[in-house]
Amino acid sequence: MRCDAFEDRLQHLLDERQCPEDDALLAEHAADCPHCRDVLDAQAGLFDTVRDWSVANLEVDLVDRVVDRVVSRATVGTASVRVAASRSWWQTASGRWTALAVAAALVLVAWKGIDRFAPRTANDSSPSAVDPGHTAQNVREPRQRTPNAPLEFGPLARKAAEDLGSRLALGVHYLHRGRTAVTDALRGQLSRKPDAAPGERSSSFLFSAASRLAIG
Amino acid sequence: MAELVRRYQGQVFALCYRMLGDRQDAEDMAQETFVRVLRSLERWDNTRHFEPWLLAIAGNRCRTLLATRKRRPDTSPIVADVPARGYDAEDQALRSLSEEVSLGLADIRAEYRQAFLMFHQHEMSYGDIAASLDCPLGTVKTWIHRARRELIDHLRLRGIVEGTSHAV
Ligand SMILES: [Zn+2]
Repeated sequence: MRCDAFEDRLQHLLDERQCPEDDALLAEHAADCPHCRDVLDAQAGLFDTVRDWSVANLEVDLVDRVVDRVVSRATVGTASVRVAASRSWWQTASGRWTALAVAAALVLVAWKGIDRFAPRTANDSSPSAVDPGHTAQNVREPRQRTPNAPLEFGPLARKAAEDLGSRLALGVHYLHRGRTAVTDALRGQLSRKPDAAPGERSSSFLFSAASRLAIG
Repeated sequence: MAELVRRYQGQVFALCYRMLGDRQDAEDMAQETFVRVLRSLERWDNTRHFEPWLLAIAGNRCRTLLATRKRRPDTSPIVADVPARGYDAEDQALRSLSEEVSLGLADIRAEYRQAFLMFHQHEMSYGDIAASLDCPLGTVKTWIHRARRELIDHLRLRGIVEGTSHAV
């Protein structure tokens, strides 16, 4: 056996977890080869040592440390979720912007509704000024206004819309989309209830919703 | 959870200790290993053995730490593992042998060391090591063969073996 064959056989025996010292072929070569005899001795010392290492003397108990960390992480995670869940949507910046945009859209829609259904007065030139498309046949039998009725908020609605509109350059897109969506929804609602008083219903509903959103 | 840590902490620590050569670092890495494993248990492929997966994570954590080190680890804590009582010739030989093996291990590449320890210290199969390290079996075999050769050469060249193999 040559020295390289000795090493190959040694590696093979170690791969198979057999004891090289018990192998007759290795012993025969080692008897005549000082280098390979040293190798045989060295591997015996090496693996005896490594086997002794299999049980290390761990001086601390990791159980409490690990469990504390895993549990505290899980608790913190749960708490974060709880905090996040307890935060109302309007407590976030995006939530507030959305609320403002929706409120403005609602106010604009209400304004349209008021213009559409409110009785004409001498000093109220808004319908033709704002929406020249409106014609008499679109306004079916305007109701008589009564004090404290929702329609009384018409000027306030206009003002609110102007204020909000001037502040919400960023929200113009959303205003448009919101107004369209709300108008469509309202149309659907009204078409299902043709006998409802549309002007009062729409403005009342929209103002209460808009004011809640804006104030909230 | 506690039972899992209790059952495997000795093995994980033993691997980390031999990978790093420092008791404190090994405790930290063993702890990190269990925290990581417990947080990602759902990712464990339960068709594979748990222990190789656990030890591979431990070894990989150690290799990451070693990569951040610039200098060879101080091996004095490992030397202290050998019983200090009775400074007779046999203890001295044991002490020298353990110290030299530790020094030799510290000198070989971290991936050789990890594969070598998984095979010889933890008696894992080549297949399990290859799977847990996510590399070809032939590569693992090559790493372990090189580790053996380098360690044997280290002991032989240091002259530490003569007369000690019969003592241990
Ligand atoms: Zn030879």
